[in-house]
Amino acid sequence: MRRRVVVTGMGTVTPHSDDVDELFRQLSEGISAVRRIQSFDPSAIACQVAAEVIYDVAGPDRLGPYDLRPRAMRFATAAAERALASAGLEASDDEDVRDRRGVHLSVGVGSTAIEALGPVTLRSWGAPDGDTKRPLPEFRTAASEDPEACRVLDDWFVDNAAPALGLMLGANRVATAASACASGSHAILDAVAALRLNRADVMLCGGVCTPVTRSMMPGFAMLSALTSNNDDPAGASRPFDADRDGFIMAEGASLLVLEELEHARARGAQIFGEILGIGIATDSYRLTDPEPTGRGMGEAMRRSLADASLAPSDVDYVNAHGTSTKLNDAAETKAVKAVFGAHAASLPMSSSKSMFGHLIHAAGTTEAIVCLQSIRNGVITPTINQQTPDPECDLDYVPNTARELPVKVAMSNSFGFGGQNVSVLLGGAP
Amino acid sequence: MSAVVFTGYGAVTGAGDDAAFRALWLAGGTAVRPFEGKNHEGLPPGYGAAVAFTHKELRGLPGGRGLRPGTMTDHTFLAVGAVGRALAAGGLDDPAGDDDAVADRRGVYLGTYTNFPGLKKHLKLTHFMGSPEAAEAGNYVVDDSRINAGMKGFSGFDFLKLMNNMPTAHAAIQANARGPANTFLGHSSVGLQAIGRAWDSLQLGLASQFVTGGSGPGTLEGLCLAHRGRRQLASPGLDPASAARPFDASATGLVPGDAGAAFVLETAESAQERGATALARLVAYDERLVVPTAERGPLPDSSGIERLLRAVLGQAGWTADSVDLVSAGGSGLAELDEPEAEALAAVFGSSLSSKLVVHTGVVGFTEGGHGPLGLVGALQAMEDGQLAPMVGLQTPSAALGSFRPRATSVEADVRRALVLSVSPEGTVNALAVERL
Repeated sequence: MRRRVVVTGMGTVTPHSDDVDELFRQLSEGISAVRRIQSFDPSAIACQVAAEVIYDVAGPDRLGPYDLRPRAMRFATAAAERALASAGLEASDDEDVRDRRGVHLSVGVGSTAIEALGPVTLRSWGAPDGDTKRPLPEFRTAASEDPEACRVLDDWFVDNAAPALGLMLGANRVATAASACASGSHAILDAVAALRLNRADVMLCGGVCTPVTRSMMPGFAMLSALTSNNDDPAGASRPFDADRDGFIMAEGASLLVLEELEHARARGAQIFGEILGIGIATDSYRLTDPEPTGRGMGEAMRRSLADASLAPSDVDYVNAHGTSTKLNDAAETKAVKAVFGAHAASLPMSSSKSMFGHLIHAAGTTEAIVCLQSIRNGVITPTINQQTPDPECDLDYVPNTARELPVKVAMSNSFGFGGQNVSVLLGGAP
Repeated sequence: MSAVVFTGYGAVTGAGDDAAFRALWLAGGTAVRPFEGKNHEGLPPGYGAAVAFTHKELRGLPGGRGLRPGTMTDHTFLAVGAVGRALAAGGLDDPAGDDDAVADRRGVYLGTYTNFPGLKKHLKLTHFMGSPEAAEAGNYVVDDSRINAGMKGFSGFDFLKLMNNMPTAHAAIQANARGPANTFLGHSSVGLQAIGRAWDSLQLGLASQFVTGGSGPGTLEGLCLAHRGRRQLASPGLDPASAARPFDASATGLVPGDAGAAFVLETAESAQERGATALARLVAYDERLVVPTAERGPLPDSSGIERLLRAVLGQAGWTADSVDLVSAGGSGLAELDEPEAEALAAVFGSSLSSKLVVHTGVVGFTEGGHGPLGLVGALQAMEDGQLAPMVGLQTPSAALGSFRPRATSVEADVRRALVLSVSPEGTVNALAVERL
């Protein structure tokens, strides 16, 4: 008989809040966290809005050997601290216990705060004079003699976050991975696999991403992926609306504690919900565009239903990937229609990204938390900024206002650049 | 639970492809050479085992024609090169021609280090963004008004290719894989980790077949400089031919190398249905976090590695004596090699001399390619019946106990192999394979 997997801990650091109940309250009220970028002056770049974490995320600067000052480390460990506290779990030194605990963390690109190398480029090449033909060997020589420059390069690598979380939980199984925008849900999949295969009893899983930087913002704008609606930040993310023009970059981290059901019951843990099923599929199509018929997206949804032994009509709510890009939202709508058939027309489907933007590697777990909160509270959060209907997007997107509705089964969709698709089915506490 | 078998492997290394890698290793040679050319000029430690694999070669491999190398980092390029060779060896010459039912059951799990760019453009942007006025006073201060102008010469792909999932995204297109796909990230242990997770997915029935493995462009400037900052690189000025010294008492650090290594891993039923030859069965995989005493630094002791080795042997139902080949991490970095050697000596005792192999002396330390390349070597030993020499190891570390290194290859009937990876961030893992 298959081992059942339940959620016993939730923790977030999101642009709205670092408290899951406060996050859900703000989402239920349709409050946007999208603002003009504050971490640097974005006036010279095409996309000037993002959803940043603008409050202080307190925490220690070090944990064992790990430096927690880099932003991604700070966010990941803070979200983990909250998740573990809600799960009532503490680190264990018992090797037998540690062998049954694991961490799966999805991470974005490294720091990409390349300006930290500025002092070395200045020493290597002198004052910037507009000449972009600069010899690289001079930089290499200077950098190799400069420990600080090498340390800055080290920050690019995000291999320390998951081990730091492993230290926090007392876990011997630790993995770091990335499947772009599907990463957070993929982390859930990997954790569920470890629990079902009886390799672990407790898994801490989720994602972290800190992409609002001087290079990544204009870089992704070049891909025509980001909004150019700079005049109305709160209105810029408009998934499924005819006037949508790209997604909003966001930063944050979200972690779940997943646990085998009987293990959770035996220790008297509070159970927030259950992972009923997961489906994964890959487009194998293009790096930037989803397959236009939504084939891979639909396959992920179908596989999650099959995994949970549920019928499409059993699903009460879909938390859409809903990025606010032309291609994604149209393809996702087609896929939902293909999978859910007649049920699609009456199936509420909303996009949390309309309010907190695209948390990329942390999106899947954050949106899974939103689903769990919808199930627990009987409230479906809205898709805000629904003003101009798009004929290609003609489902019930819960426009602009939250809806009170009992939710027994919710589906969370995550679809990534590169064609990686994951759907997670969540239910209430058994 | 279905048996899971390897039906093909391929590699791209500083020595050439997997066949050239094996030939050089059996001959006791090394691909470590002085750095030359614009990609490596001025880069510490001044030598390494860089890959000469080309775009043209990639296009000649299965699935390679539709790929766009210009949109790849070196991590991805090495990964898809190895995947192409594995597809060919596994009899998947035209994956795009497979029908949907087959593609839907094919997954891709790869391991690599954080995707890192060639620094050229990014450094120019950094420099350009500096305020000229502040620079006159010797200070670097970002002038945000210069960002957009500094982006001249970039394309969106310069940033897209940094997404950490790109090795898998490209390989999924190359292999026409529509099942699970994920990229595992970290240091030298991620390649085996990807294989272990593919094994899990096959056991759960999420797919019938995987393309899996890992890659690492160890000679990339960002990696070399970061290792330099960690004081983990081998000393400059050494004779490149003898600089890579795994488990040697005189080792001075990591010698960078480039590599990708990949496999076709599938259920026995899948292999049988398509008439593929099963090379070996994957019988056990496990991993441990051994928290280092400093960030990416020394491991505290050998106990975590020893515990891992015993766990994998237990999963496989093997005794230490029944193992014919042990492919070790042997990075050449004493702070990793010492605890690894202690653990190996504790588990395998005096029999270690007749089963230990390490490929670091041949192709350097290849990051995410390291563990998978060890597995390639193990499968090759099963095929050719040779235990390769211990290239670069002359004076064994005392931690290895009574170990006596082989100077030349020797004949051996290799049926059972254990492959181990030890990573500076503290992740260690091992898998066990058995010849069929």
